[in-house]
Amino acid sequence: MDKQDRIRNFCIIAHIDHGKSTLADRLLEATGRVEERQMRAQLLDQMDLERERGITIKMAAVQIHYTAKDGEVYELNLIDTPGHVDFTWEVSRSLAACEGAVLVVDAVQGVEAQTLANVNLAMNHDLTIIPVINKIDLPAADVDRVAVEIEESLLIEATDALPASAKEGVGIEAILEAVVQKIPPPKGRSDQPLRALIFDSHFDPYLGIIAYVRVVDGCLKPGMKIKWMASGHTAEVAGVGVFVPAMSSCDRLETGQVGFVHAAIKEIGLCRVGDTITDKTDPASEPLPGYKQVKPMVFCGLYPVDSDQFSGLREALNKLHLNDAALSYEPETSAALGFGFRCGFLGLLHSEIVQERLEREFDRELVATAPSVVYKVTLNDGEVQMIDNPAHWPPLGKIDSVAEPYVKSVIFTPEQYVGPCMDLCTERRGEFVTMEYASTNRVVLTFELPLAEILMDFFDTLKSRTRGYATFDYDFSGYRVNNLAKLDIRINNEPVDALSFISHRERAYYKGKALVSRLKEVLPRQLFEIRIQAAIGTKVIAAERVQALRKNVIAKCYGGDVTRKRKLLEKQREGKRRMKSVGRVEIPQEAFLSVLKVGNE
Amino acid sequence: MSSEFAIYVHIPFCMRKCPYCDFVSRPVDRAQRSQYLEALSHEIGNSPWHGSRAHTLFVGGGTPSELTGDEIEQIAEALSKTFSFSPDAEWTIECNPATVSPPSCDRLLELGFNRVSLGVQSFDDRHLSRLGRIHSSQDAIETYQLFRDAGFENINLDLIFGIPGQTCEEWLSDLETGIDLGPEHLALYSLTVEPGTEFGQLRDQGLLEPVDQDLLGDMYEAAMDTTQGAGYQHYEISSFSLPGFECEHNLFYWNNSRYLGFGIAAASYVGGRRWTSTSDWDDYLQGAAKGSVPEASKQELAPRKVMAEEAILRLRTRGGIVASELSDKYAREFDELFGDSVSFLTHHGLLDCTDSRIRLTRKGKLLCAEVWSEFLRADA
Repeated sequence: MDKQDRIRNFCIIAHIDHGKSTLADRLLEATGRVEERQMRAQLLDQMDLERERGITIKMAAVQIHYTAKDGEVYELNLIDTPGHVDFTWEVSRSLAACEGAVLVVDAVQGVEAQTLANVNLAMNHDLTIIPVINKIDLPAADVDRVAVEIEESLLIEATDALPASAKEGVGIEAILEAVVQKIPPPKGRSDQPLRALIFDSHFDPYLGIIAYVRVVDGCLKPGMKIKWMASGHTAEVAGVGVFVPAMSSCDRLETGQVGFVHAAIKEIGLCRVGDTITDKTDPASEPLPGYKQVKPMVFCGLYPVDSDQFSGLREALNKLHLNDAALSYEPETSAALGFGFRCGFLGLLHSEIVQERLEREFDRELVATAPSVVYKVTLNDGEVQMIDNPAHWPPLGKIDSVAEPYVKSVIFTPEQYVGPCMDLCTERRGEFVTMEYASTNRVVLTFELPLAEILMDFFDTLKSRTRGYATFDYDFSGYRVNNLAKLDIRINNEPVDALSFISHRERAYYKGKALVSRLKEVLPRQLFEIRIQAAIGTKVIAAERVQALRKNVIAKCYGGDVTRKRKLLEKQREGKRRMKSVGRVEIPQEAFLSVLKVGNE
Repeated sequence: MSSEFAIYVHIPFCMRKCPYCDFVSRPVDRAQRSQYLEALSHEIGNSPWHGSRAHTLFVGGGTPSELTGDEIEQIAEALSKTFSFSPDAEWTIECNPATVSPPSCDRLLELGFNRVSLGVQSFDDRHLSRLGRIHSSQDAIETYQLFRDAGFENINLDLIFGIPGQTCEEWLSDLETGIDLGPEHLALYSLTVEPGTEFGQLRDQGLLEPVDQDLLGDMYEAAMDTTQGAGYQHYEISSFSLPGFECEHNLFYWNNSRYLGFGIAAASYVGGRRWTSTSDWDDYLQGAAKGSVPEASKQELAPRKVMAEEAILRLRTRGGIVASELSDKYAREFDELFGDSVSFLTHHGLLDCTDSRIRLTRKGKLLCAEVWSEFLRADA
């Protein structure tokens, strides 16, 4: 058996909370790659945020060595994948680097919406799937029922599904053995010119960009002149290595291996995820099939709270982008918020995570505008514009029709919550497609929903109406023409671009009213009366007034009071400085958040 | 006048701490009281401004009227030895109703006090108990009469509006009761809930609803109208007096003149330097005994900040400011620094500029914190 036959590249796929990260930790432990005492819980989740939210955002790739029952030592490369629906793109990248997947299903919860989504992705990549039923230690575990669910709703043979408890360390050996026995070794050819697939990257302040690669054909070693086939950039390899899980240099990466390469590249654009690296002197004729290029679905403006911090925000986005290829951003200007960025995300969770990372890891203070989808606007003269920012909406008179993106959404729910789920989807302009039984009392609902309707609080509402039992996933399904209009918010007759949004006309009145009354609550009273209006074109559909400030007196002001009062006022002024102003109206950050909360309840 | 000082003496005792009070004050026993008075005499006697002229004296607290005649004499003596007061200098003492007896009124007069500030707060017993006051409405009226009968010709009543649960009618009734007594001076405050006080804690716990600012505005405006009808001049944001009875001591603060404070947590201001003595009891006693009281805070204000402060403090008063006077005094163009603020505030009806004088309008009085804040922006 040659070296390549003893390599297995695999990932773990699961619905959130089904125990994927715990299982990964156990596999590492069992193969002695990480000593137990050195282990932090869930080692693969490196970012603090991931630990806190209990989800994997960034995958990592770890090489482990396992001595199988046949006596051979195998090199297993475990590529972790994110579990959430928004990260389909990242999942697809890591799947392309693998030959097999361990499918983890919770022995109590059974198959969930993301299980289905991830299995579909894995099947599209022709991966060998090893079903594992995890959490068998739980009193309510029902391995047989879950096996039936796997067979019926995922169409995967599950009679020999492996029972396991990652938490208790049960079944780990059997999983490792199955990985070796069932997953095929990598197919590439070592005698061919180098082709290495970049499936992720991160930025190291000393080494530059670290590209995570799967060597498909040929071999990669330091000193080689390499070329990125898509960007055309060339460089000399400074070093290669594997993750154990820390970065560990080695003298070469051979066909089938997974590891990293760095070539003193400082510029993000030169080393794009999805590109193929080849040998400059002996280049491959064809690049590897590209990844599924996923376009951002959700856009919002991100602005620094303090206008001076624009360049700091740009730097942070640049750095973040190195670790998050799915994030897109370009500068934009808002009359209300100043200079900022229009950012594109895979979904709402992705946008929340990016915002949190910017705030926490990069210490940026942000104002975010309401998320928007990309509308397809057809003008009277036949021109079609793709518009992701309500500020760029054409004038009412020029628009012939507007189409919005729809998603096919799948909801897994216990039978008793079918009613609430149906109601929610209907409220959100959803169109019923099918209802099927996954098992005796679990139902799969399929709806066509406008993406815009699930952007804000759909998931939270679904969870609360089903006591947390329903799971949800969606996939883009196409554009549909609807009766949509841009709702403008004006404050003392000045339109506030950052507060405008697109709405279905039938719901515009209600949403406008809700937003205007929320704004009335959050806008502080000022020296003059403030008029808040919601309008479509020139037609005002809702209005409120914030009365002028009536009384704000520093009543006592004797000797000892002067300093204290002064400090108090200085502190208040500092708070005001952070507000954005439209005309002379000072608008607190909360106002921009309020547009996020309006109109779906 | 600029060489003179206003002198403030702080008496940090009271029978019971009021839930809104943020002055340094607490109940103490007799021994602690005499320790404090001794320290105070030391501090006064050791003042670096020994020998200076003093224009006014204000003894505040706490409850200075809890002191015995001898104790007050001890303070008065220390002051008279250290500073030179003119014979008709305004000497004010703060008194709480039900803490004073007829002989002590006479004694205060003998010692040279000619003005009394009476902490009435309300004439409604329900509101008095809400404020945690230990006296009744009747006590207040009787105490007022005691001072009147003893011969005091300058009496101030402190009244509070915006007490939680108080209506505008109830406030007016309080005010009218006060006016009917015929005091020369009225200090009318809206209740300020300060952090760290019992009310402040209640507010933080959500147990004390802030009073609606429109109601407060109505109350304040009603107070301006009612006092004016009764012949009082509104000579400072919270101060109303019959002609000729403005509080000279407080005018020192608002004219940005210099003052010295003695006692725990007292503030002093001399030549752009402002400092506050420690509010720690032991630190104060030890410091005073050694001849130097530790400072809790001190500030050296840059000239433009002093100028901004003088502007805002003077704006509180009826006279307002004359831009050219301030420009001359500080050798900086007032308009250059504050012209934009003044025109912004004038535009919104908070300031009135006529006859080269800048004054708060009625709206400006209602919103004087905004005015101050605008001037702060300009001095930053």
